[in-house]
Amino acid sequence: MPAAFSILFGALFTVAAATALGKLLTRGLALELSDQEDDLIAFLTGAPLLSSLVLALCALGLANAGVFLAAGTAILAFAVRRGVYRRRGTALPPLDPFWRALLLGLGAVFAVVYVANAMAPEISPDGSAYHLGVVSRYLREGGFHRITTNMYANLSQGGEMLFVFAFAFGMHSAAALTHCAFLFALPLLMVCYGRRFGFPIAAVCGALLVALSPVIGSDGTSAYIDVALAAAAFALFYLLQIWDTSRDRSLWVPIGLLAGFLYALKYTGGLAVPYALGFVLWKSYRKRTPLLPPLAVIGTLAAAMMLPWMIKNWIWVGNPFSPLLNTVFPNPYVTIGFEQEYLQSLRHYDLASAREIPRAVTIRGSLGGLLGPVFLLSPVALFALIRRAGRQLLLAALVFGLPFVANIGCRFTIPALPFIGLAMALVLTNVPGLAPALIAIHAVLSWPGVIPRYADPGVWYLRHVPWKEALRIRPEERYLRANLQHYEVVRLIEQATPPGARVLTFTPIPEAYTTRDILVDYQSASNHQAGQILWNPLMPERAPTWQLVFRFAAQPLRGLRVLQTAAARDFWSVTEFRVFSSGRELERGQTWRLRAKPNPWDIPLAFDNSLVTYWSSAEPVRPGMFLEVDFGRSEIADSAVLVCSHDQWGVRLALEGHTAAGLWTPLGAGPEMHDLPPISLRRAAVDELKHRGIDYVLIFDSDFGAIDYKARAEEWGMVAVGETGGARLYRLS
Amino acid sequence: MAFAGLALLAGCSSVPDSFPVPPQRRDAPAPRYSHLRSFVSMSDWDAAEYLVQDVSAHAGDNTWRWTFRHPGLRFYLTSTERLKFVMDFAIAERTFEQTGPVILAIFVNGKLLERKRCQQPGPHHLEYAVPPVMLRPNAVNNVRIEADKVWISPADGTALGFILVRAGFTN
Repeated sequence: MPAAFSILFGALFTVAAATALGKLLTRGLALELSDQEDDLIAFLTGAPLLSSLVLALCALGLANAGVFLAAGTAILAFAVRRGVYRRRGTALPPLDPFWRALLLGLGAVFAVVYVANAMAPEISPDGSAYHLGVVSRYLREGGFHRITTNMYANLSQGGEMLFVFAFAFGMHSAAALTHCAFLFALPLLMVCYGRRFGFPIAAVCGALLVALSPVIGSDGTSAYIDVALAAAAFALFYLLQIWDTSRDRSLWVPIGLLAGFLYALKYTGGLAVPYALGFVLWKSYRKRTPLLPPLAVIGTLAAAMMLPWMIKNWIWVGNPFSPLLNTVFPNPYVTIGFEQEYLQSLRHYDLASAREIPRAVTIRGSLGGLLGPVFLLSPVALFALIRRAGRQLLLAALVFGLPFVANIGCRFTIPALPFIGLAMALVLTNVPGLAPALIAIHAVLSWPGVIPRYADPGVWYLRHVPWKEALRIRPEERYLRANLQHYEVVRLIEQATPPGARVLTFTPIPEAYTTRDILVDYQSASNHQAGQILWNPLMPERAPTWQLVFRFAAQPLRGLRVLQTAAARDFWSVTEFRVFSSGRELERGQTWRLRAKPNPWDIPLAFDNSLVTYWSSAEPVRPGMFLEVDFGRSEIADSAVLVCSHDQWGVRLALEGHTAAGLWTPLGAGPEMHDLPPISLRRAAVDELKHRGIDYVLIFDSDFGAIDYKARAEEWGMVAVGETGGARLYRLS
Repeated sequence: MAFAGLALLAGCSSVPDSFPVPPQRRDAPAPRYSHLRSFVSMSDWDAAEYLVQDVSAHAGDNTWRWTFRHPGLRFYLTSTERLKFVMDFAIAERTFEQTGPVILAIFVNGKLLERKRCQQPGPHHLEYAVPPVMLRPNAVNNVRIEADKVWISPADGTALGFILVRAGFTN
C-alpha cells in the first residue's frame, strides 16, 4: 500500500513537525501544562510555526518534498535532542469512568469514519477546487507566484501552508488527513479544559456534541480549514483562561501566535486579535498590572503571523485584504461591484427569511452543512451565563460566531461551535440523565445512514466509510469518478490540452486534479471580463448598438470628459469613445492620455477600436464617475460619440470640454441617441480571448449560451476537442 | 498600528493617473466600421464616414454634396437578403447644359448593378434590387457610381458629376 503509506506519512510527518515545534516552544517557555494539555497545545501552537516556515520556503521558491523532508527531519531531531518528549508527570484530574467510556467508545467509532473519509480520495467541493488547487500549484511551481486570476489564491493561507507540507508527500488525502488531526485535537482539548477547570462531565458532553456533529465530520475530514480554525480558536481561549488564573507572562507568546494564526487561517479569524488583546488588557486593567507589555508581546507576535499575508497581497494585487475591502484598496483584480454582489449572496444564500436559518443549519442542512438537530437546543446555553465559565464561553462564541452574520453558510458556525457546545453542556449536565441521552440521540442522528432520513437531499455529510478507498485497495480513480463532481471533465482537460493551457470556465471544477491554468469566470475581474466577452454576442441588451452622439460648436479643445450624473444600480459601460471633427474621426494619437473614475485600469478598452471590449464602472453608477481623454495638445472637435450597450438604463451622461483656457466647461446639450444595427461579434469575441492568452473554453450544457456555442462553433471560431459529463471543451482556433 | 500603517500605505498605492491609447485592433471582423449603417443622408452628422472618394467634404446647405469623377460610398450590412440600393440625387441645370443626358453606372463591390439614364436635370430617384451574391454580410460594402459624362470647370478644370442627397441599402 505505498499510496496509503505516503498519505499517512505526509499527514503524520506534518503533525509531528508541528508538534515538535510546539513542544520546543512550550518547553522553552516552561509553560505549566499537564502532559495531556502539552501534547495538544504543542500541536496547535506548533502549527503556526510550521505554517510560517512553509510560507518562508514558498516565498523563497523552495517548496518541494526534499526541502520539507530535510526541514521536518531537522526539527524532529532537534526536538528529540532537547528532550521535549519527556513526560512531565503532571496530569489532569481523572474522568468519570462512564463518561470516559462514552468518550472513548463513541470517539473510536466516529474516528474510524473520519479517518477513512480523510484518507479516501479528496472529494470536497472547495478542497478539490481551490484549497488544494492552489496548494498543488505552489508545489508545481516551487512556491509562490503572482496569481491575479484566482481570488482564493490571495486569501490568507496559513492552513494551506500545512497542506503544502503534507501534500508534498501524500498528495490530496495527506492534506485532508492533516486537517483531520485538528478535528481530533479539538474535542480532546475541550475535555482537557473541563478537567482543568472543574467540569469534566460537561466537557466530555460538549466535546461529543461538537465532534459528532455532521458538519464537523465532513469539514474536518476534507482539505478545508474551518475545523482547524475552531481548534486554534479554542486553544487561544484555553490559554487565555489559563493565563487569567496563572498570570504566567510566558503565555503571551503562544497567545499572540495563535491570535495571528487565526487570521492566517482565515480572514474571519482576525477577530481573535482584538479578542485576545481585549481580554488581556481588560484583565490586566482590573488587576492594575501594566498594559503595555502584554499588548506589545501579543500584538507583535500576532502581527508577525498576519503581516506576511498582507504584504504578499499588497505587493501582488494592491490590496492587503484581497479579495475584500476593494473600496478602500481599489485594484484591477477584484471589482467593487463583484465584492458587493458576492458578499450580498453570502449573507442570504437562497433563504427567504432569516427565521429559516436555525432549521436550515440543524435539520435541513441547506446552508452547506448540518450541525445536527440537537443543536436546536443551543439557546439553553444562555443559562450558562450564571457561571463564570459560561460567560467566558459565550463571549468567545459571540466573537467567533460574528462572521456568521456576514456568511450564513453552516461552516461559519464551526469556530463558535466548541464554545456553544460547552456552554450547552454546562446547562444540560445539570439535569440527571439528560446529557447521555442527548449524546446518544446526537450520535444516532449524526450517523451517515441516518442523516438522509431527515435532512434535505444533497446535504453535505459523510456518506460512507470508504476504508478500501482510504487504503487504496480500490483504485482512487474509480472513487473520484463516482463521487467528485466534474472529475471526468478535469481528466478531459488533462488529456486534450497541452501543458500550460489556459481554460476559461463559468463553472468551478476540481482544479486540484489538473495541472492546467483554470480561469473561473467569477474568480477575478479579468476572468469575468473574458466571460462577459464570450456572453455578450448572445445578449441583445449587451450588444454595442447604442450610439450616443454629443454635438457641439466646433472649437479647439485640449480634452473631453463624459460625466455620469445619476445614481442607479446599473453599471456604466462604454465600448468605444470616438471624437470627431466635421464628420471625420480624430486619429487617436500618441499624445492622448486616457483617464477614468472608477476602474481606471480598463479605460484603454474604450479606445482600442474593438466592439467586444469595453470599459465598465464595475460598480453601480453614482454621480461623478467620468471617462476622459486628454489630447495632449489642442484639437478642433465638434462631436463625441460613445458606442455602448443598452443595459444601462439608469445612466445619465453629460459632456465637458477642456478649453484652451484650461477650464472644463459643459459642451452642447445631452446626447442624441441612435440605434446601430446589431452585428455578429462571435468571431471577434473569440479573437479577443485568444489575444488575452486563453486557449480553451469549457462550456457545460447548463451554461448560458451552450446551445449557440455548439450549433455555431465554426462561426465562433471554436473547435470541440472533447465532451464528457455534460461539458464540452472547445479549442479557440 | 501595523494595520493602520499598512492601510495608509496601501491606500496611497498606485492607482494609475492615466493611460496611453492602446494598440488599435484591426483584426476583428470590421469592428472599426460596424458603427456605419446601411443608409446615409448627406444631412447626417457622420455622413463623412460613408464617403470613400470623390464626394465633396462639405455639404451644401447641410443636405447635399457634389460628386466628382468617381464617387464612392461605403455601408455596413448585417444581412444581404432582399435589399435594394436606393439613391436620391439631382442633376444640376448648369452642368446638364454642358453634359446633356447622363448615364450613371452603379457598381456594388466592384460589380455592375445597373445603369440609370438621366434625361433631364432636376431631382432623380433610383431603386434597384441587389442580388445577395453581390453583397457581404457583417461587413463593409462599397458602392461606386460612374457618370459617363462630368461637367468640367473652364476656370480650373474641376470635374462635377451629380448632386448626392442620400443613398444606401434598404429592404
